Amino acid sequence: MSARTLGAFTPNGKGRVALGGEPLVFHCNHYNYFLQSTLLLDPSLGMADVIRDAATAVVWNCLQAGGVSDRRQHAEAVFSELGFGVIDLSQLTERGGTVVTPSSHYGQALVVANEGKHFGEMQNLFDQGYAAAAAAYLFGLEAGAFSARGVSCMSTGAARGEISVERCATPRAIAPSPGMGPASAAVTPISVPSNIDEPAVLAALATLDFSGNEEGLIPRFGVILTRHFANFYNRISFEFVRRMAGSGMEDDARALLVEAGHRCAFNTFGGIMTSAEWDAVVKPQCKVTEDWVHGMVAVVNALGWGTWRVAKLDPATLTIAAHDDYESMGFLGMFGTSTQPVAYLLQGGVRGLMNLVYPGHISAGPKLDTAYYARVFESPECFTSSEVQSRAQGADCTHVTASR
Amino acid sequence: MTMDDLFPGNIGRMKLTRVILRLKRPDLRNVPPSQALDPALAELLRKTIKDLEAV
Amino acid sequence: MSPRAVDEVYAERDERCLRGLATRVHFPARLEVTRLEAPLTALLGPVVRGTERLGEREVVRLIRQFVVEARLGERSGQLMLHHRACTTPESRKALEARVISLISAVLGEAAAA
Repeated sequence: MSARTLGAFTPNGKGRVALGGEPLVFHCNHYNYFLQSTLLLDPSLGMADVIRDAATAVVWNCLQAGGVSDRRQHAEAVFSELGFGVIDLSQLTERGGTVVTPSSHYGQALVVANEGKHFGEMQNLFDQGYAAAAAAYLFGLEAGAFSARGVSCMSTGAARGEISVERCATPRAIAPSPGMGPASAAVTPISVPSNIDEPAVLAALATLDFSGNEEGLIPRFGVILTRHFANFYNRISFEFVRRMAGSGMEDDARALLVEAGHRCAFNTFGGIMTSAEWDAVVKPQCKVTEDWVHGMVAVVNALGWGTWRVAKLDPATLTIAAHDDYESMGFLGMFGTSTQPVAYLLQGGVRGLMNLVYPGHISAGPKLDTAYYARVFESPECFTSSEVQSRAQGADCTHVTASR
Repeated sequence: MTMDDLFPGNIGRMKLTRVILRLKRPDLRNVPPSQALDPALAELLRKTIKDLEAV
Repeated sequence: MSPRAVDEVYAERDERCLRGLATRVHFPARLEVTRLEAPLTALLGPVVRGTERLGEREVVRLIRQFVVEARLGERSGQLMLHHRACTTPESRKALEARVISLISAVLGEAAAA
């Protein structure tokens, strides 16, 4: 892939990486699909606007800090590099204009996750928010200077995405992104021994190409990845729960966010653990079943989610100590200390990992289809998870336990 | 037709959660799982399940 | 699916996570995958070539932009075709057929030699 004009990627030494001060996390099309479909279950919540504005906030923040002189090239390059597709901003003026996406993760990859079925509604809300932010950035204006609406989207069967961007008479209020969030304690060393050489796994993964291809998409591990903005996910997830307050369905909302993490784990972790990359780099180190858990934890530590440490592991229990988990750090940065656990993705991910390794027997290389998912999820040996300690509630790190 | 018929197992429970949010009906959580459903409710639930699959 | 003959060359499309965008082409493991690079490059047309290291293996990437990325060397007896999202099911199927024919021809040449 030819060099794109980007700002600098900056790691924080605790398993997180930022671009333009905005922390990035890898997530797959299945997570993006399930999460977005959950948030849009009840149209009266107004979550479509929340999704657009959350995108605008993080993208504007990221681009502003980039220090790149050719702003249009910069904004287009970041979109492609991070796996969102290809975006053409050439028709934008200070009054707005039409933005085109001839390829789009949200336009195309969510269809793949939806079993090849097109959607009734446009799914490119993130792209719309990106377009509004890019317009503001191009003309040196504040984040809320433009609004954006979808005109067409590949997710509904259109040939390409088109977004109409308009200058607002009065700039809209956009909740700012907190960036990396507050500083936190140092990461503890690996304490539970295994046959996995985590530094070697991370070093091997660091040599692989995770940038968007010429279509601006990242097909890897049998899924289509995005190198997404942590605070985008945080804003839309936390606002969803907040809008459910008092409805009698707040716990249901949280449960669905955890399930989104479980689906992510099934597809992404499952894809990783049946991939050629795993076979070459991790599998040779796996001598016992528990090594598969340790190996996947090592890979997670390359995803930008924070640093996971196995605190306890046996066939019935996994406790992960997550340092700088992006959900807690985002909540702290946005709202301060929480009264409740907020690491939904983490809970679902830890549960999904144990379900894959134990009742799922992922080491046997099963086909990751809906029948397999049903078999694992319905198994009497299926795991449940809970957040037993939360960074967002003031602890040093977040502890999640999956057990059965 | 019962809730167990429409929403079997763990996957069914998750599907029910989505239906609850879609319909804004937290009361559905309290419907006894093996009780015969009112035909109108059963039809509403079937339609909603289908709508969610077609999203 | 009935078991495949060990000498068979065939395509196995990913119908799960990538649903038709990724195809694994199987061929006899005795065929050194390096023998496929030149003929594949000729078949695909102008390609961008790259490599990746997977443990002990070197993976060669042949990218025909906006068409396909062929990945050689991930596993013996296989090559991966990552079709680009803008391609059609018909064009993907046609390309897979041409790749299978190519591999069969290379196998034939190897046998004759």
